[in-house]
Amino acid sequence: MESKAKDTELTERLKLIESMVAEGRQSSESWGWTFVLWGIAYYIATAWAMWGHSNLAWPVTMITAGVVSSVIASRMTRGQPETMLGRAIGAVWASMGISLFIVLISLGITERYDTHVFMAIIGMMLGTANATSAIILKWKMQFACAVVWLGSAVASCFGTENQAWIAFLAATFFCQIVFGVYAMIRESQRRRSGVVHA
Amino acid sequence: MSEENLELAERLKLIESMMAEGRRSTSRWAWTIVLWGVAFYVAIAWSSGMFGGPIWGQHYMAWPVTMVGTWLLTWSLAGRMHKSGNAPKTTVGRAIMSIWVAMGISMFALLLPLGLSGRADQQVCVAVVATLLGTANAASGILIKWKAQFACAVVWWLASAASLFGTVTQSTTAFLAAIFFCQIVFGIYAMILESREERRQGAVNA
Repeated sequence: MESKAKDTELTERLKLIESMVAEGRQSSESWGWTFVLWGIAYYIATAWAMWGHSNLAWPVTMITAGVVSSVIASRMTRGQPETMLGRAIGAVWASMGISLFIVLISLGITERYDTHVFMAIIGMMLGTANATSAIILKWKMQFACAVVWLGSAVASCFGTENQAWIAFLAATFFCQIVFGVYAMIRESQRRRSGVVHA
Repeated sequence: MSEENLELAERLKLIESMMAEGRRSTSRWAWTIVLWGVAFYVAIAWSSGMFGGPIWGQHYMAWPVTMVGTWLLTWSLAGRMHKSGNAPKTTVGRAIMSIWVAMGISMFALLLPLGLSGRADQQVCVAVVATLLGTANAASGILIKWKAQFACAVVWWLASAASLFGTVTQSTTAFLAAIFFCQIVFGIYAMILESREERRQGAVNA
């Protein structure tokens, strides 16, 4: 009798976790625009640095993208109830942002700039954040993005400078633009089906 | 109090209790923090030639062997913990586990190619490791609102910056100090918290 009650409690607990994971995935889809925004920011920074030969390209573009993201995000989250999975994913991306900022600025100031190392570190950090979110949300598509980012990091280590750039630009296209647009489409489909059900 | 406010208050209470459970679950796994701290020290000592003998003489084997060995040991001990039912499945527990698993995958995926391709010197490698450990500690610390763990993240970030700005010796010193504070001291502190909590629970149940 007692073991049956324990089993029922466990099943309910698992069901609750599953529903929280599904809710987390849906709420992640509503952040698809940030992936697209940062993907475009990477492209602008790359183009500016390549053709404008400016050292300011990356810091200025990244800080601007950060400010724009936080302004829109604070509007989105105003009045919204906090969820545990939302907190977890927010914590992962915030920590990744701080870490990336510290290590890239330090590499830049100490004049250790090397395209291979830069691209490898960016790929590794974005791979880590995507992998964490994907494991938490059990989202295969996002885990595929993590694999692509880590693949681009490895390619940066072994390839030439041009190959490192190509790997980075391709990873940005698939993991930021394509994945972001995919999440946005799913979000709009869900909204529309919600309107139909209402 | 309106119904909406009551629901919000209940939700907040639930989140607070989940975070407290997350802190307890982290304390339950504190032995892994200490184990990895000791493994880092063994790998550093081995690779710098502090041990003698035919096996210890293979310096290039130090990091791969120690890391894979520690990973296998962690895996088998964690499996036993799961079997004995000491690790209840919670959302926060899942999230924290995901952070550390992803960090492990990334570290393995990048450090090996960086080492094999010869792209990064010792200082950059230390910065990469410290940055990843800083990220994982910060994410866990923010998630479960644990200031001590967030302080560890700050120490790792400082070690990462110090490694790039300083000399090779300063980089090594910063790395050793960060391991001491964030793996050994923090791990023992979390273990003490866990044993206190167990004693308290035992006293309540008795």
